[in-house]
Amino acid sequence: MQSSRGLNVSETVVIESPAHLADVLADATAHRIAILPIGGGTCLSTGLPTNEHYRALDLSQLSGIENYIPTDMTASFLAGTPLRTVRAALAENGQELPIDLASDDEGTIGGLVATGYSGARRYGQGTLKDVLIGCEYVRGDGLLAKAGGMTVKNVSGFEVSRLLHGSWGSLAVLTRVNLKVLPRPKADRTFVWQDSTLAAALDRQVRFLTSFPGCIAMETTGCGDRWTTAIRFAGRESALQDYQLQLSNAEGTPDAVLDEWPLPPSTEDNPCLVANNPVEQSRGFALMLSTHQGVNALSISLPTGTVRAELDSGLVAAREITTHAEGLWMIEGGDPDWKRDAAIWGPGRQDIAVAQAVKDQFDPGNILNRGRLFI
Amino acid sequence: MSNRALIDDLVRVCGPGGVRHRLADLMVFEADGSVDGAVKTTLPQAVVLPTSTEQVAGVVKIARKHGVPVVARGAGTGLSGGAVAINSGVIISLTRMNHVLEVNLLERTALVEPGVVNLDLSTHVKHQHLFFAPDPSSQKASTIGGNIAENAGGPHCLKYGVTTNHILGVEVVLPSGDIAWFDSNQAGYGGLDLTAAIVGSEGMFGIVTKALVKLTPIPQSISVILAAFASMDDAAMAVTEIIASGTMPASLEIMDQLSIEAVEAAYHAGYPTDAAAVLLVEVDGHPLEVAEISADVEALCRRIGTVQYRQSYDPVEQAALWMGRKMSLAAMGRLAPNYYLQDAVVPRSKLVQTLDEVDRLGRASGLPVANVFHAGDGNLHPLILFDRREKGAVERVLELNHDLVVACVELGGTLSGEHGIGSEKRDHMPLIYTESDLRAMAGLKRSFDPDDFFNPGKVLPAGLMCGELKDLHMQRMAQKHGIVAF
Repeated sequence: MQSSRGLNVSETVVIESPAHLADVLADATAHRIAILPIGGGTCLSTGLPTNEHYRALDLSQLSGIENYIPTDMTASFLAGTPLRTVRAALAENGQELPIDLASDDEGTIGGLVATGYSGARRYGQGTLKDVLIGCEYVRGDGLLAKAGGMTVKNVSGFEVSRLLHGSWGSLAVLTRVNLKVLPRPKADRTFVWQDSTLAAALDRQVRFLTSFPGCIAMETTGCGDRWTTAIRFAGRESALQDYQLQLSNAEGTPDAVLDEWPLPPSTEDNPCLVANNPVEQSRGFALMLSTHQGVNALSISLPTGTVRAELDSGLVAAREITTHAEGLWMIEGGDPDWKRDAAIWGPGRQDIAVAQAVKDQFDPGNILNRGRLFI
Repeated sequence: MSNRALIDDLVRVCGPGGVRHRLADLMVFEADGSVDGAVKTTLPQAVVLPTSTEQVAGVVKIARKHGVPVVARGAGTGLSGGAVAINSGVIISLTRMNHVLEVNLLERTALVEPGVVNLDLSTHVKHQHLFFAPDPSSQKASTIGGNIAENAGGPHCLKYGVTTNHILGVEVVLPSGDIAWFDSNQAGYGGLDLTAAIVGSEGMFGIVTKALVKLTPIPQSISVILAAFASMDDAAMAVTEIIASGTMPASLEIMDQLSIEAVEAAYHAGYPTDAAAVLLVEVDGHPLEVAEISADVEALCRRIGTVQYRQSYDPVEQAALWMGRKMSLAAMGRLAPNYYLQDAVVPRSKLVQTLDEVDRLGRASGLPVANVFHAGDGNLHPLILFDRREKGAVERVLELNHDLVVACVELGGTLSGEHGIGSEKRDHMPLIYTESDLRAMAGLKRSFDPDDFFNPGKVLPAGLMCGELKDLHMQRMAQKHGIVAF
């Protein structure tokens, strides 16, 4: 018996092909064996603590570029392809995906789609859901199927691909993802200001929001009396210089001008509360969190309403915080003992009956990530 | 129960003015925008025009009680036989639920009812410098609810994405008659993005009664470019090179010589009639950026050999340039009494090859084919021109359509980019999907609508929703793994 981030793993199966995966899942459904799909393994500490004994799936062999025609601006990757491979392949052709990750992220493209991660660029460029044009997957019951294709527009059949985005592997295990890729902008610039209070920083974000709709991301990070607000533009150099001039006139000279968006370090070892709510609600929540002793650091992307709070590892105070949280939120990471009594996936959902019906169709044996998820 | 009893029950929910059941009224709802003869339709037993979510839910419960299917319908502009009854039943027309309920300027969102006309929403928020980006050619008539059902596109989807990219949440009436709210933000938060499943489900999962939509800031600067070419290959090459250069215009549209001829005869849009193809490019964004990109596009088009090049920053002139494109379907009446509009999509790199195939197959069939299409997306719209009064004309058109679909699929394409499958293309689905793919889609349908009560007979080929196939996979699994029963 091995322990992987607090999860009990009885055995690990190295998946050799989609057909092999289909056999493994069909067998697991037949024998009601709980399955733990593992991409890069970077998100295993997220989810409800459970005493399940998992058969882990090592998906690292499902790696590689299936189809990439730069002039089509579409690419198909096997789900276990490391993100650094994806990034490098696209960068060679002056292309990218509209997402920023933690600077030392070791995830896979399939894992990224399955967890639905999005960063601050979600404001200007959307999430991976917006560029997901197709996929191949194996349902919990072992049915190997595909949806969508390699065209940038496609309404042939139901949107299974986008349903699987952010489903945390609760319905199926992805084996291939097809993505629309974007041209890398000619220039990319981030302007940074410092504030001594969170309220001042958030006011600055709201001013950006109303006056600079052309930005692709903005975020405030910090704690105590040091708050950094960054606003990011991408495009032609001439436009970025003009934006800088307009920003300086409106907000004063920026404290820093960066050619790269400052990526946060990975905080997977620390529990992190992530909330996503309307702007005004997020402002209030962030201000409450900033005064709470259980919060080490905050980052707030107001236009997307995302608040990320790195929580004290003591966690007693963190549990108290979750009792004040409103709207949509979840806890990433964290110690299993603490999480046992916490609402890791936030409040109850109004759509749970339909979500459960979908789960029952895709994973009738309830084997996928059993016990870790909301459904 | 009799039809009279059904009507009486419906009147109790929607009032006498909200129920249509006379033959002349029902005939209005018997068809959509698709070609007569290309899709099977039947008269509905009744049409209701609810004004609230509660009325929609009430109608669904009554239809269920009477055992008749339900079809939701917007403006009826669809081109795939999606919003028509094929097994009779009740049509729920949502055109009276046409209010913009709320606009949030800070969030840049609007909460709307499904019957709001697409263009009306953009007009409603124009003074706030916002617009609703999906812009199907039918936008003067088609509704947001219909756009959601079909996952509609439009010329500006090249940059801004299709409808699904702009829907943040939906209120739906489920086949049970229950009302639910689906929030797309659930993705990644332990729930499911059921909004993503609803968009493009052609009214088969639930009836959208409210939608929270994303609004987009109106760009600071817009440049519209017309580049005419002596050959379609040159126009297509210009598209390929613009995309390859790392530029993402707001739209890239092509019209061929036949379309230009029709548009000029009908609307005098100012397109050069001696050109083989016209490329319309729209670039938007920061004024300095728009100027630079427009200059790049001009240089590229001139290098390829454009025979006429015009660029405009003037909104009136831009509207005139766009008018030709947007009215091109209406202009086809100048060329033939009828047309059949195809909607296949191919990878962008296969555009030239596909157009050659369209030309070859059109010539072989003896039917003229005009082309007006979203070139930047690879979304073709061959228009097969015909006269339905000629004996066998519709059959010849459908045969050519089939050949075109097969050709596009063989080039890596798909059946529909923005019009939906409906009943028109459902029998083509096995061309692109395996039995397993289709069974998985049927499973998703079943999870929302186990009794196949909402819009039956659409999208999925016949037989996929029946009980025997439902359990086939489980039976095979049981045999393979030596399990007696699950």
